[in-house]
Amino acid sequence: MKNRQDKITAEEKFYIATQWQLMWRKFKKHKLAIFGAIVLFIFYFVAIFCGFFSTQDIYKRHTKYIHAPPQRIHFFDEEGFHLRPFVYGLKRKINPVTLRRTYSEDRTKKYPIYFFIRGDKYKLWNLFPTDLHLLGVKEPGTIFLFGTDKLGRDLFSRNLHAARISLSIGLVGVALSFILGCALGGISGYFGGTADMVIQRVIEFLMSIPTIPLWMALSAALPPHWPPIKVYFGITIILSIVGWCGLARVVRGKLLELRQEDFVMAAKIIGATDGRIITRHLLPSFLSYLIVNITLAIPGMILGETSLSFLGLGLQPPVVSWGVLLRDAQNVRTVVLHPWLLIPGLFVIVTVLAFNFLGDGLRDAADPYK
Amino acid sequence: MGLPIKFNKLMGLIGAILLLGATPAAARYNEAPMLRTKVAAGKLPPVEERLPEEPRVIEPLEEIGRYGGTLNTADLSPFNAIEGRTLRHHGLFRYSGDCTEIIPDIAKDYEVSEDKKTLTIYLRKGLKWSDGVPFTVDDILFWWEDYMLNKELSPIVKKFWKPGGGLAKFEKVDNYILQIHFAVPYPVVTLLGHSWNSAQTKLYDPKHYLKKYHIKYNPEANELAKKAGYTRWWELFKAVRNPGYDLWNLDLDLPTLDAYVIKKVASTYQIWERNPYFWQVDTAGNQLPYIDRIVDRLYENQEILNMKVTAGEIDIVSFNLLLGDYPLFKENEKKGNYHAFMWKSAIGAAVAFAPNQNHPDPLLRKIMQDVRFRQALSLAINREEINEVVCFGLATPRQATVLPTCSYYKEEWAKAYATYDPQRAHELLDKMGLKWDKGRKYRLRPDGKPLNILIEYYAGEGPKTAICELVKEYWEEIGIKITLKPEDRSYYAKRKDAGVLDIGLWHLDCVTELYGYGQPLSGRLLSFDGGWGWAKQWELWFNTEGKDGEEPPEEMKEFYKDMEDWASARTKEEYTRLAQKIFDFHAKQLIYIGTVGMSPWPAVVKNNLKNVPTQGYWSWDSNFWIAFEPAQFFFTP
Amino acid sequence: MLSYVLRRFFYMIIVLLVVSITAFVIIQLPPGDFLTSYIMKLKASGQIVDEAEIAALRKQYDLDLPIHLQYCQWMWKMLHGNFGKSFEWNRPVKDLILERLPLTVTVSLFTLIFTYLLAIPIGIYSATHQYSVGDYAFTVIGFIGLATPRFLLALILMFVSYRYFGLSIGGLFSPQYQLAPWSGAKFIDLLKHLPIPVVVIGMAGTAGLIRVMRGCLLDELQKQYVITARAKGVSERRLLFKYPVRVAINPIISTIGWTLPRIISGQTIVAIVLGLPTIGPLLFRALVNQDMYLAGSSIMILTFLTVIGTFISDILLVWLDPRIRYEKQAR
Repeated sequence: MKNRQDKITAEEKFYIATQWQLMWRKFKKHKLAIFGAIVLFIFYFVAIFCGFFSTQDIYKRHTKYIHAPPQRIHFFDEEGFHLRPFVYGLKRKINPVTLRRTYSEDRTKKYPIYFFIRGDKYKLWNLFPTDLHLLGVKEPGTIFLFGTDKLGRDLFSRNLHAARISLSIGLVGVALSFILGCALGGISGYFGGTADMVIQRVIEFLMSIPTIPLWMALSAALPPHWPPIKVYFGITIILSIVGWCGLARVVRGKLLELRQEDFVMAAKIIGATDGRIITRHLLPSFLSYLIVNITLAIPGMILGETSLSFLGLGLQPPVVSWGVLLRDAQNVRTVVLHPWLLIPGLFVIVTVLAFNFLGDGLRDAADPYK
Repeated sequence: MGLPIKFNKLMGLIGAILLLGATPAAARYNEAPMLRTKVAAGKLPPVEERLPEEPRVIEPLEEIGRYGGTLNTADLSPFNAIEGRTLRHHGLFRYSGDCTEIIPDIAKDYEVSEDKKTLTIYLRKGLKWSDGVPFTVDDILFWWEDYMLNKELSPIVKKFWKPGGGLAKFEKVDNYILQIHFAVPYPVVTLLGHSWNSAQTKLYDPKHYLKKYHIKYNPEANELAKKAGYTRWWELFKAVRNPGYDLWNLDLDLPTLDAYVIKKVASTYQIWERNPYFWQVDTAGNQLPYIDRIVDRLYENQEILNMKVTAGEIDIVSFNLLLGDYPLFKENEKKGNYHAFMWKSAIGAAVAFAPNQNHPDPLLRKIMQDVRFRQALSLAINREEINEVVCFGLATPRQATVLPTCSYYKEEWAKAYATYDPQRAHELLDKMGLKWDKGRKYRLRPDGKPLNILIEYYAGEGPKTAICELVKEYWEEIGIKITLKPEDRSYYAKRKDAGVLDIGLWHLDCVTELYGYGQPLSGRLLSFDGGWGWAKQWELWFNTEGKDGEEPPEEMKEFYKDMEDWASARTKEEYTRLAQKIFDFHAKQLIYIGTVGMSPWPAVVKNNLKNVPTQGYWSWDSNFWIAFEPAQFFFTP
Repeated sequence: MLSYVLRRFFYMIIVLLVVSITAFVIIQLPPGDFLTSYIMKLKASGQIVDEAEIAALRKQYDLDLPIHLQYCQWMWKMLHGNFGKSFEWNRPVKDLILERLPLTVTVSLFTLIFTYLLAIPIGIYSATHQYSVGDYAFTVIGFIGLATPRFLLALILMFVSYRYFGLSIGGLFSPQYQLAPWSGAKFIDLLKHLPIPVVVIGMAGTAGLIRVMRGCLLDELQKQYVITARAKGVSERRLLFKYPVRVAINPIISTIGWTLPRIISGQTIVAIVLGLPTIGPLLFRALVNQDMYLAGSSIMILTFLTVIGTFISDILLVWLDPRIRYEKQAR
C-alpha cells in the first residue's frame, strides 16, 4: 500500500515538477556528467586556493635537485606501517660520461609529512599574507610530488598555480564570447533582415578561417612589452574572436525556433503576459542551451591557450599556465628522460574531458522530456 | 730551435722542386673517381690543369682519406645556416682554432710592411674559380672598385676601410700580387680571417661572371634586372652576388672558390657537390675534398633535429646543438652509431649584462653609471651555481673579459668582482643610498619609487633563459626588482638601438687574440654598443665627432682613444700595453657583467667519419668548422 | 543550380577579399619588421650597416609606402602571381609555397578521407549497438581524442613510432627519399610516414563526426518507416543501409564546411611539431621572424584552401542531393 502510494507520488512528481527539477533529475542519471562536475569542482577549488594546496613557493629553486623525479609517499619502512606518511630523502648521482643526473631514494633519511604545516610565505588571492600549507615536510627534507623542472622548482606547486591561469582563461574567454555571442546572435535573430544577413556572413567568414593560423598570427602581433596581465587578456580576446560565432548561431537559431514553438503559442492563447512567457517559457529552455554551449566552448579555449603557449606565442614565463609548463616538455629529451614534465598535459586532458562530459550531461538534461 | 723549422722548409722546397720537375703527363695528383670519369669523357681538363701551381697542402689529421660519400648535416634556419656554410667555405685567410695565428688559405701568403701601412697579398698562380676561369687580382679589384666604391651597390664605405679617416688604396702589382695601402698603421690582415661573413669584407668576386649584371660593363644590366623581376640593376646584382653568409637561396651558376659548388636549393635542403677546381691537396697529392657531396637539411625545429641526430641520420653537427641535450646524445651514441663530445667554446661569457649608462631616465642613468651599482650586481651573482645548474659544472665562472689564450691576458680581469658575495653587494648598495621599502623586500630609487629593472633579451643562441632566470633571483635577493622579458631578436635589436634597454644582454664572443683585435670600435668589448647598447648617446657623439649625442666623460674619451690607438699599434710592446690598459679599464669599470664563460659546446660526429678532431675551440671567432679543415674529413666504408 | 553556384562563388570572393585584408593587417601589427632583425644579424656578426643601405632596402620592399598603398601593392602583385619575396629565404614566396602546397593538400586530403572512412562506420556501429561495450569504447576513445592537445599527441606518437617501429621521425620522407625524384618507392615511403600526422590531425574531427553520425542515425532509426519496415520483415542489413544510413550521412557530408578548417588548423600545429614540409611550419617561422610577405601569403593560401574546399564540397553536395539544392535556394 505504502509502495503504491510512493510510486504514484513519484509519477505525479514527474508531472508537477518544474523544468529545472526535471533537468536536475535527468542530469543526475548521467554518471559521466556527475563525474565531470565533481572533477571540475575539485580542480577549480584547488586552483582558487592554489597557494594553500601547493607544498612550496613556485619560484623556489632547489639547485641540488634539478629534474628530480616525483618522490613517492611511503607508509611502510623496515619497521613496518606508519600512520603518518613520509618521504625518503633524495640522493643525486651524475653520470660522468653522459652527464645525466639520476636520483635514488636515500633510505637513511626519512621525512614525515605534516598537515597544515607552516612553510613558504604566499599571499592568498594576492591579498592575505600567510604561510599555511595543506601538507609538507620539515627542512631539510624535500617533497616533490610531481618532480622538479630544469631549475629544481617544484612541479606540483607549479601545476596547481598553472591551473589557476589555464582554468580561468577558459572562463574569461567564454564570458567574452558569451557577451559577444548573445549580443550579435540576439540582434541577428531579433531584427533579422540586413543585420541578420551581415552577421551571418561575418560568422560564416570567421568559421571558414582555420583558427590556429589566425590565432598564431594575432598573438604574434601582441606588443611584446606588454606586462603579463595584459598579455593574458590579449590572449583571451584572441581566443574569443572565433569563439563567439558558435554561441551567436545558437542564440539566433533558438530565438527563431522558439518564437514558433507550440508551447509559446499556447501560453499566448492562455493570455500569459510577454514577461511571463519570456521568464517562464523562453528563458529556461533558452538558458539551458546556452549553458550547454558555454560548457562545450570552454575546453576549446583551454586547448587554444595551451597550444599557443606551447608554441611560445601565448603566455610567457614567469607566468605559469599548463601551456607554459608544457613548453618545457616539448622536447624529446623530456619524453625520454623526464616524463613527469608531461603531467600538465594530463591535467589538460582530464579538464577538457570533464568539461565535455559535463556538457554532454547538460545537453541531455536540457531536453528533459525527451 | 730554429733548425727544425729550417729543415722543414728545406724539405718543402725539395718537394716543390721535385713536383715541378715532374712532367705534367705523369700523374702528380690524384682525383676523385667522379671527376676522373668526367676527365675521361673530355668534360673536364685533367687534374694537373685544374690545380694551381702551388696548391695548399693539407696534412690530414689522422690518415690519408678515401674519396666518396655524402656528408649529411643540418641547420635550423635558412638565415643562419652556419653548419653547412662553415663546412665548405674558404676565405683568403683563416685563423687557427685558438685564433692566435693567421693561416693563408686561398691566398698563398701575405706580408705586412715595416710601417704597418701596407699589406701585400700573394695569390696562388693558376688557382681557378669553380668554372675554370683563373682567379686573379682583378677579381679583388672588381670587388673593391665596382662593388665597394660603387655608390649604388654600397652607398657608404665602412669605417673599416677608412682607418685614420683616409680611404684604403688597392694597388695591383701583377696578376697575383696585390697591395693595400692605409693612411695609418692598420692591422687589417688580422681582420680578414673572418672576411667571409660580411659582404663588405669579402674581398673578391668572380668578375667574369658578375660583369654582365653590372651597369659599368653591361649597359643593358637594367633590362636584365627587369626581366628577372627586379626594377634596378643593382638589386639583381646583389641577389646574384650574394654575400654568402645569410642567404639560403643561391645562384646556381655563381662561380666559387669554396670546396663545394651548389647544385640544388629547396626549402628543406641544399645539395652541394665537390668543386672540381678546388685548390687543396693532401700530403699524398690527392685533390681535396675527399667527400663528394654535402647535403644540408633544414629542420623545422630543435626537437626534430635532436631526434634525427639520435637516430644517426646526421653525419656531423655542432652549431645547432644545445648543451642541455648532451645527455640525450650521449645515451644514444650506440644506437645512432656516432660519438658525442664537447668542444671548448671560445666565449667570454655565455650571458653578459651591460647596464645602460645612457638610460633615458636620468635617475636610472645615475644609478647605472655608478660603478658601485655594477659591482654590486656582479657580486650578487652566484656563478658557481649557474655553472652547476646550467652547464653541468663544465664552464668557468668568470667576469666578462677576453680569453686566457690572449697574449696580454691578466688573470685578475676574470676574477674582478666575480666571487659570490651578496653581503658586500648589500653594503655597496647601502653606500649608494638605495634605501629599502617598508617590507624590506625591494630597494627604492632616490625618488622613492621601487628600483624596478626590466631585462629584455633574445632567448636564442645558448642557455640565456636559464641563466637569466637564475640571475633574476640573485638580484632580487639584494633588493632589486627584476622583470624578465624574452623577446624576438628584431624587437630586442630595436630597443637596443633606441638605447632604451635598462640592461642589455648578449653572449660575449669576439674575445680571442686575433678576432677580438679584429673588431676595432665595433666588436663586443671594444664598442659603445657591441650588441648591448650600453652607451648609445656616447657612441653617437663619437660617430658624429661631437655633433650629435652626448659628450662622454673624460675617462670614456680616453677609452675610445686607447681603442683607436690599439688598432694602429706598431710594436708588440705597444700592442700589449694598450690592450692591458683597455681591459684593465673594463675590469675596473665593469661595463659588462659576466656569468660563466668558456662553456663546453656539444658536437656529434658519425663513427665512420674520420679526421674530425674531438677537441679544440668551437667559436664564431675561428669560424666554427672552418678551423678544422673540413675538406680532409672522409668516410670509411 | 547555376545561380546558386554563382552566388556561392560571389560569397567566396568576398570572403577571400576580407581574408586578404585581415592577413595584411595581421602582418602589419607586429612591432619591428624583418629588416631590423636582418640588420641586427649583420651587426651581431660584427658588421656596420649604413643608414643608406637600410633606406635602400626599405624602398626595395615597399616599406616606405603608406599602409593602404602597401596593401594595394601587395594585392596587385599577388593577382599577377607575384607573392613578393621572403626576406628570410631570399626566394619568391610563390616558390616557397608552391613547393609545400602539394604535400599540404595531400596531408589534408588523406586526413579528410581518414576522418570520414573511420567516422561513418564507427558511427553506424555505435548507433546500432547503442550502450554496448564497443559503443562505450569508441565514445571514450573519441572523447579522449577530443581532449588531447594535438601537439602532445604528436610528440608522444612520434616518439613511440621512432622507438618501437624504427620509423624515421619528423618529416614525411626517409632521408634517402627526401632528395630523390618522385617514384613508386618514394610514394610508398610517403604512405609509411602519413599515418601519424593523419591520425593526430584527424583525431579530434573524427571523434566529433562519430558523435554526429551516431546521433543522426539514432534519430532516424526511431522513425516510423524503419519500424514499419522491420515489422514487414526486411533484413536488418537492408533495413539499415537502404534508407536510414543514407539519410544520416547527408548532414555528415555537409559538415565538410567545418571539418576542413579544423583539419587545416590542426595540420598547422601538428606540422610544426612533427616537422612536416607543409605550409604550417613555414607560416610559424615567418611569424616569428616577421617575414611579412611570407606570413601573409601563407595565411592567405591556407584560408584559400579551406574556402575553395568548402565551395567545392557545397557544389558537389547540391549536385548530389536535390533536397539541399532546394533548401539552399529557398534560403
